[in-house]
Amino acid sequence: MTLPPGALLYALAGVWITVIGLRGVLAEEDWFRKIVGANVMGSGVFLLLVALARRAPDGPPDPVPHGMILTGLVVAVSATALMLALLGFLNDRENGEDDT
Amino acid sequence: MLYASFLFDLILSIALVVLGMITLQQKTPREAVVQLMIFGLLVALSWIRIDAPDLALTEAAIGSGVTGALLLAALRRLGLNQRFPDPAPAAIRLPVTLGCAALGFLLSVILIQSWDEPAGLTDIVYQNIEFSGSANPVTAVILNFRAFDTLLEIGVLLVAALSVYTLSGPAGGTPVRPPGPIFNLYLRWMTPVFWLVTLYMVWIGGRAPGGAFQAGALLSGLGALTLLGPSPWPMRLRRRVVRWGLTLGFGLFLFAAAWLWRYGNLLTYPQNHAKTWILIIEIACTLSIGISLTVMFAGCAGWLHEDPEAAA
Repeated sequence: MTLPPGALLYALAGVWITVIGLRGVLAEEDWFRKIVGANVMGSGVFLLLVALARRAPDGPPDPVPHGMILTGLVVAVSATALMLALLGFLNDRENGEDDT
Repeated sequence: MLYASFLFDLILSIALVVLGMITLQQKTPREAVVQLMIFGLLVALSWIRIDAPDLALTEAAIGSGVTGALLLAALRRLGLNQRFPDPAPAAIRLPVTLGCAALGFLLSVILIQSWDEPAGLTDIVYQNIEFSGSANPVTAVILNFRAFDTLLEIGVLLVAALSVYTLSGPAGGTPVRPPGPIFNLYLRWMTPVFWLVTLYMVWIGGRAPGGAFQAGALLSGLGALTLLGPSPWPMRLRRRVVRWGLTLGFGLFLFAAAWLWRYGNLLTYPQNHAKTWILIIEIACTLSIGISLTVMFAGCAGWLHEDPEAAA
């Protein structure tokens, strides 16, 4: 029996983490939890991409997905920051309406 | 030996899925953030196993560190300490869960079936790398072969930073405890070290793992530390630095694109000077990424628009 390659296991884990994150974004009520879910989902996509870069068992890994992940990580953080800023904006407005 | 490494991969991949699930089941926001950071670190560990150690470091720094800092800062500002509200009714959750499970199943089947099909651009990248001006394949991809993508990504970063800058309100939440003498000393000693490592990271990116994105992440760490430190910059200087710093990377990149357009295509560097072009763009992008992430951290923490006149 031949063992499946390690990269395939991580790719499958990436798929399921993405799906779990997606479920969090769609099914949770709380905004903060949705943001955490979006981050989990992002990690899953990145894990899948890193694993796909390692499909050929020999030689160097594919640098194109690596480049996409490198830039994607920074973009994902800025998306998180934007979501948090929007959440803060919503929060401030609701509190302001309560006060007046 | 083969079995041992297979076992490790199996356990880690299952642990990652379980941890992802646990992260979304936490009762309070703070627990969720801490769990997310642990999850991010384990994801980084798995990337070492699939030959991406440099990405693993970036994930540990950005995906776990900076994201965690952003979320914790936002928690403090929003004062979210209570438990999460009750979950959505089962009428919503059940179909969503079933749909997501079906999607995961489908993707898994596709993945297993198409795994052995040869694909990817590895060969093309390595055939053309000598013309790219960078001996590091990842740098060659993001700053030469696919520079157009990176230009737009820096643009996305600028838009996000500007939006955070505009949206974040005045200071709120509990004030920060003033830092102790040990922190101040640490900050004073570490500031030049951070700058040195940042510059080294940009420079080494031409040959070995490294480059603007890792260096920018490092710089944002210094930015966050400085914000926590004893001597916040004067407001006027800070505004100027923020304004120029945010736009520098995108501006220079766009200028390079426009300049090179006159000679042919967008972002096709002249072959003899490709290394110089890449280095200049990388330095500008490093500064912009570092300052953008710092601005986002300050925005999420509510420290961006502390108006001294309004406080007085």
